Amino acid sequence: MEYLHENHLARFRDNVRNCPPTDYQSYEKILLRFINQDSSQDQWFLPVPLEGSPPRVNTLSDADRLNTCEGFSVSFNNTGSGQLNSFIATKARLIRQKKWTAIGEVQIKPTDGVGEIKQMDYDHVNFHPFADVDWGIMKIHNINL
Amino acid sequence: MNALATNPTSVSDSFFKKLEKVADLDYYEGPLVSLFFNPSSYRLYIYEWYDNDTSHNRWLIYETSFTALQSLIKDEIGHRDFLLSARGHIYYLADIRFTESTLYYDKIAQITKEELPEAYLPHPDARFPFFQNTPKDQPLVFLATYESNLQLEIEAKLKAHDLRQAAELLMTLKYVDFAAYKNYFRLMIDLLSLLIKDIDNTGKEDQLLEALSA
Repeated sequence: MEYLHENHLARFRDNVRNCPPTDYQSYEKILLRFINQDSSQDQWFLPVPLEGSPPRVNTLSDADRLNTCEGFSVSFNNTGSGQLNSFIATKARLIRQKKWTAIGEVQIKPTDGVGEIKQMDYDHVNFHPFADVDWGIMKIHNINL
Repeated sequence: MNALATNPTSVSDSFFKKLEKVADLDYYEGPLVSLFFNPSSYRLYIYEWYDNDTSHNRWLIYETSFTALQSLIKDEIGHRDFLLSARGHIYYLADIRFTESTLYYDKIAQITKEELPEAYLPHPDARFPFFQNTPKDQPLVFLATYESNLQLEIEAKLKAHDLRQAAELLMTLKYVDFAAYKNYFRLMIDLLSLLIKDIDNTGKEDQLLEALSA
């Protein structure tokens, strides 16, 4: 199966490492993603290094971490609806700077890609979409800061 | 992102580059709030991301104390109060650029608490953990080790009668304001006079208070 941004992911494959990692799995789940409703949907699911902003790092090892297979994944949240407001409060500055207007509920299907499982407890998931991913936006929660 | 005012500051990028990162207290597709540590002075610093333009990220950097950090992690105080309790109410804004495996602190400005723009302050409802992908364990483990190492270091300084260094280290544990320092160290000196019999208490006290008020 070919992945979205395959040319970037291929750089992180060798005899030892796999990209995406072998413990990533396909699943069916509703996950959350910050979105800017004023931009096109393609822009909603870009990995950080492709966003065009300078890397947000404060050490060299942060920069190394971005230039990895993980760095080219798409971040999703698994935050419960009861915690959304406090989550938004903690990210207020980032939300304003990125001009995110809403949180989209995305229906992830097994045909969309593979994601990590072990981070689910921390409410954050890295996801590698397949090339023909069809993002299903179920619901939009507007952000009012 | 507005251009940084060029407030004169004696702190250069080499000062910040000596700091070691302990943990990211908040992370979302990159660090948002990070805890740093100066291994030679035991002082603790916070980096908070604020803004970026096409080439730089702007970070607010300030010194914090062991007790303030502990209160934040235990959710006894919110993010905003934590930030406003920075040591000496001194803050640095640094525009950092990453290019070809090097971090450049291209511009550093020092500002006071009063000069902090409201937009830079955390949302009043922001509490720690800022997000659950930030495990609490890492900073807590660090704090436990930090406290025991610091106590050993303070004991060593006291045994060597190096009161000034001991006082400097004690200040990293707790500070409120200058008046509180004085009372704190007066108490310490009373204790020291009991613990170290050969100390010339009067002379050291004057010396210490003079150093603190400098």
